[in-house]
Amino acid sequence: MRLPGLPKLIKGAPADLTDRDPDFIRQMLPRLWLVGQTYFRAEVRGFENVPDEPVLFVGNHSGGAMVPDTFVFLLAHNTYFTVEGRPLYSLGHEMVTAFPFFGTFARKLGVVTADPTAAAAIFDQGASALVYPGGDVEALRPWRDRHKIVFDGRKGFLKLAHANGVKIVPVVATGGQDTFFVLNDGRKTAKALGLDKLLRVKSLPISMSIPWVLFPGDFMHVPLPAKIRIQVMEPVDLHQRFGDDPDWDEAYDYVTSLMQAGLSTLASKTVLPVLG
Amino acid sequence: MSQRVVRSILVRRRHEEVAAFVTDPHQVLPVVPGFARFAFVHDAGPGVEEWDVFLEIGTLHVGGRVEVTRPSVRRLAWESGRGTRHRFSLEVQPVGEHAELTMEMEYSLSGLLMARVSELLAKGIVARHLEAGLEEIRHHLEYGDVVPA
Repeated sequence: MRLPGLPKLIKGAPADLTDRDPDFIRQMLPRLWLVGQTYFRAEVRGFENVPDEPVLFVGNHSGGAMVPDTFVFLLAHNTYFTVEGRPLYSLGHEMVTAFPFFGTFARKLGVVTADPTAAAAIFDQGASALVYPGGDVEALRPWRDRHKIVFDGRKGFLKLAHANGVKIVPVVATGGQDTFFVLNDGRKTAKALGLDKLLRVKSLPISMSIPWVLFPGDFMHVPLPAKIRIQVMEPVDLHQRFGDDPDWDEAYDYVTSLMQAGLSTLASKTVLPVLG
Repeated sequence: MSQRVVRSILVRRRHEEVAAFVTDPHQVLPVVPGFARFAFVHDAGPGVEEWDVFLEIGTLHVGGRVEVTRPSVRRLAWESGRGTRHRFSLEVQPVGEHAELTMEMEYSLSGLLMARVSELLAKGIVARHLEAGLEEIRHHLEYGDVVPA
């Protein structure tokens, strides 16, 4: 039995930078602010660390399918640097950009299918990019690992930044993984079902969320009003630190170590989970 | 009644190097982000120093005047003389070519029911501060950086 639309969903929408709609983003900003400020009591600090040039923001992914801290970051970046001042694109999973309705919304906000050619075009036009190397594995990590960096050994973001001569700006966030609760890892389940080959999805954990109560994986849910904190860290110049021909394992270990220290420090500000 | 929180981390450096660093409060305290306020007061006798050390937890500064000692070449410890009643220690154990660093804090608050409730709620906060401190020390020893708070 063929599932209509599934091949397109798997393939993802072609990367098209013209889908980003500044007028749409400006319309969305007040809404994002209302939700970000009143519901998530969000705090975003550290933009003064960002150099005045295109950069690759590298973040820790949280919140399952709803990724609330991504929207908070988009809101903060687009207001700090203005919508046209330093455009921001987000390199996303192909399933996100092709999803019906939501995919169109995401592309208008600047989400493009993760692709080296698209990334190069982003930097060439003077824009910055945001990437979450941990992807689905990190966004669906168990609650007990909510303050851990889980990039799953993925080094593409390093090669992307190095090849394009842009600095990496680490962005760590807490609170996103308190908006729903992932009970287990789920990697063995995903592998047993062949999801890693079919959909490039590496984990199928069990999550607790509203209204599903218990759900395999995650689907659109009502996120809990957890306090979200985001810290933009100082940039890392890969060429300066690791030279023209880096040892990628060494570079990966350094960046993840740096981000882990930053994330743990940010997490120490939490008084009570969810409440803040 | 008191609460005790213990956290450990593996540091990919030789244990002698880690121990030399963590048993010197002049070196280790500037690296730990939660200890936002610290100052050496004076030498209080052989192997004993007095410091003012405070852990910043939102609206609270938890800590006070402490007596710092080095019970062994691999252990730094202090006990409060005034301020929040607490004990703290940093200890290094060799693990192969590397080192396991353990931070422990024991504290008690004055009062009865509300103090017990506060102590229990504070356990999570203290744990997160210890974890942050360990990660910062680990990163500093492995890469030489100090991550700004």
